[in-house]
Amino acid sequence: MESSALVQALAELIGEDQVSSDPAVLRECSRDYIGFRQYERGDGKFWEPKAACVAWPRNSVEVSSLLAFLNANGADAAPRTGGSCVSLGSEPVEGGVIVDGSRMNELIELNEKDLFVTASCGVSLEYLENYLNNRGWTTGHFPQSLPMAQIGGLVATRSIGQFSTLYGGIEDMVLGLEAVLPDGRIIKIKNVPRRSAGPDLRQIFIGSEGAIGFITQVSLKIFRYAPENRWMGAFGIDTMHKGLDALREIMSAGWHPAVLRLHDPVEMERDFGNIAPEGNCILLVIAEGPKALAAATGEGVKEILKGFGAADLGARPVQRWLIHRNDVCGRLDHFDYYKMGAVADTCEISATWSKIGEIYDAVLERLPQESESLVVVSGHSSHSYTTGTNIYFSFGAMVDKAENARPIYMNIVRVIMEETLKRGGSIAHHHGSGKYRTQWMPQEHGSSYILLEKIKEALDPNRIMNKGVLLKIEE
Amino acid sequence: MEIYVCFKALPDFEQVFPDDWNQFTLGTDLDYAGRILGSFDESALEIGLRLKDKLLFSGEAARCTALTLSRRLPAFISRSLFAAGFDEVVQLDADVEFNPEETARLLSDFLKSAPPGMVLAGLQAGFADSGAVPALIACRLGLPFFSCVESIEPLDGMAEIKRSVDSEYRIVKARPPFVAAVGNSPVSTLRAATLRHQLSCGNKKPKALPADSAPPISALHFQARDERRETTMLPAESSADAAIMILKALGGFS
Ligand SMILES: Cc1cc2nc3c(=O)[nH]c(=O)nc-3n(C[C@H](O)[C@H](O)[C@H](O)COP(=O)(O)OP(=O)(O)OC[C@H]3O[C@@H](n4cnc5c(N)ncnc54)[C@H](O)[C@@H]3O)c2cc1C
Repeated sequence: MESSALVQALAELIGEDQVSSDPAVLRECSRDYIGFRQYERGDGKFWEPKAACVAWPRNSVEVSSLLAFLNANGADAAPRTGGSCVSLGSEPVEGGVIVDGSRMNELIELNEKDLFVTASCGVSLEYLENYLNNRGWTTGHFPQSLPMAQIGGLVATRSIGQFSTLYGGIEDMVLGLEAVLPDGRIIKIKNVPRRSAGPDLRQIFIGSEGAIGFITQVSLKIFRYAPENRWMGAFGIDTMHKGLDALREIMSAGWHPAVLRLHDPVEMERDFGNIAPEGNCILLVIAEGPKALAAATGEGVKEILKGFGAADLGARPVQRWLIHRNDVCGRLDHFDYYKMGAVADTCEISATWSKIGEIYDAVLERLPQESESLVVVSGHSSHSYTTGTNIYFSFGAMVDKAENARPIYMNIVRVIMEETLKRGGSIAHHHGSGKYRTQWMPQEHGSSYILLEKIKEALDPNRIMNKGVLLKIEE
Repeated sequence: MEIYVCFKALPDFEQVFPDDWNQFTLGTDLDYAGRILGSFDESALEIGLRLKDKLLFSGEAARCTALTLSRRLPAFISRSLFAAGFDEVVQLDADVEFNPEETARLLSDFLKSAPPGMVLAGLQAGFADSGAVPALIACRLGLPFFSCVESIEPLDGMAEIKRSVDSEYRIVKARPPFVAAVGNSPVSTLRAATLRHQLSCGNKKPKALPADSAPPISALHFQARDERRETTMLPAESSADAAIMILKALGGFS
């Protein structure tokens, strides 16, 4: 379908004010924060694919008529809400339509009896969290992108927050949801505490990255908000391996602090003011919940860390982290790294306890050898489970010209992916596949990759939804 | 040519808790906030390295020394200085705060004993610092002093110094030795060295030298002033409307 005809048809469908093909608006709504795009934009280059238009439906019915129309006409749809994606997942397809749910920002219900809140996909997490906090509740979901991300995207990416060791990832928080399939059917998964009525259908959408439908509404569990009960402590621990062993011990002992972060010596020096003994890692702990439980958790964790010879650094490094942990969101469009001549980003993976330390070592050893212009690589574990943990690598490399930002960046990512896959880890702990990790998805899933293909085939047979994420595009 | 750059690793004040500001004393522990280079110092350090590069490129000998008076120089800062291209990092072993004369005395004592060259420094270390140290060093060494420097270019044994004074540029040619205080330079960040280069610098450590500093100043008192400004959003449709509203509020229209 011709671009202009498409734009006009959509305007007729959902209203002229709800559709735009203005190049500046399109650029704004195509923005993704993957490191090399930030570098390119800093250099005045806009190389993201150009959509025909952006459409802002106001409710599920409008989403339904939009998708049904696009599906019937074989036009590509790229869902989007908060636009804080870092994996190329929210970039459109050339000539396609950006379906932006950010105007669906209604907070539908706070149910204090049954302990859940229902919100439309475009409700900002920060708004929701503040709203709940003022009433004594919390979602327990604190991704670093809290000031940017919205409910639809948070569910679609299978996101996780900084307090996950207590509250879990978004997959543990979603009670029910509503979504629109590409053919326009609106489906609803009801709110029940648990059921045994077949596979958990919520999970088809949690992490679907816009590839099978558009999430319009979500019900999230809520928890009591009692920050005054928090127990906080920071510890220096002499090696990353010892730190990982300590995390394992804490998790296997049954403690559930909300925050359990182990930063390597590079991050200890750079981000925590070198407060631990030189060359040490720093471990941050926050326990929360009822006062007695928070205190017992904190003391229990401290006792274990004592056994690992950890130095007690007091609560201040944690307080500092708590205040400044999301500052980066306000600086993303300042092009700080571009101004330094560098492309920089993070890349998160996960693995079992027996493999995670090896992956960390291997990446730190290989990267300086294989990335000539690398200036920094560091890592931290920020989400632990009884069976293993994640490593969130940060890296930066000098770039001579914008054309080279992407290859330099992808060369670094490749090393991290390879070392992770080699050891049976997962190549994406919480940023999703997006479009930049798709090439490794067959290896990530192995023989179960076919299930992803079949789900796509069944729900989006015309393959209009977010082409390029999760599944390799067939030639 | 010897190039010396004086710098100070400052507490990262943006990270300091409001409570610590409110009851600030000389002994307040700000270690948790971490240390960073002041922005003027960072410019001076990079300008020093660029000078060195240009001199070496034109076949002249050049050496860069970074010089600090502090017991608290984080290892990552000294490592990044070595990796960026400093031949030596000298750490004078004393912590002197709120005493520019004493700071200048100790730094210039070191400089007197070293081969002469260009001495660069940031115009002011941090916002709480006096900005007097570079000029005092020049006085003590009896050298010409240039303030508000934006750039320095080597020029046949001389240096072409671009200064930004009273919203105009002044270009001065001077023969080293001299002291230059770097101000709002477009050269704002110290270059990042590749990890390979950082690794190749091995375990170079700063040269720690004793410094017999005077006892810390004890008669300093800080007082937090609770001053706030009331802010109101003007419900104006245009800047002209806003101007009229402000004038009215100030009693300018009857
Ligand atoms: C500074 C920064 C820090 C971050 N920290 C974290 C973190 O701590 N934890 C974490 O998990 N992530 C983090 N992220 C990544 C990002 O914020 C998350 O992936 C977030 O969940 C995206 O939400 P969003 O509303 O911004 O989605 P968008 O960017 O709009 O979209 C993200 C993906 O979801 C799809 N999508 C969006 N809305 C819908 C919908 N309604 N229906 C179907 N598909 C949809 C898009 O197609 C895209 O693939 C961070 C990002 C930044 C920039």
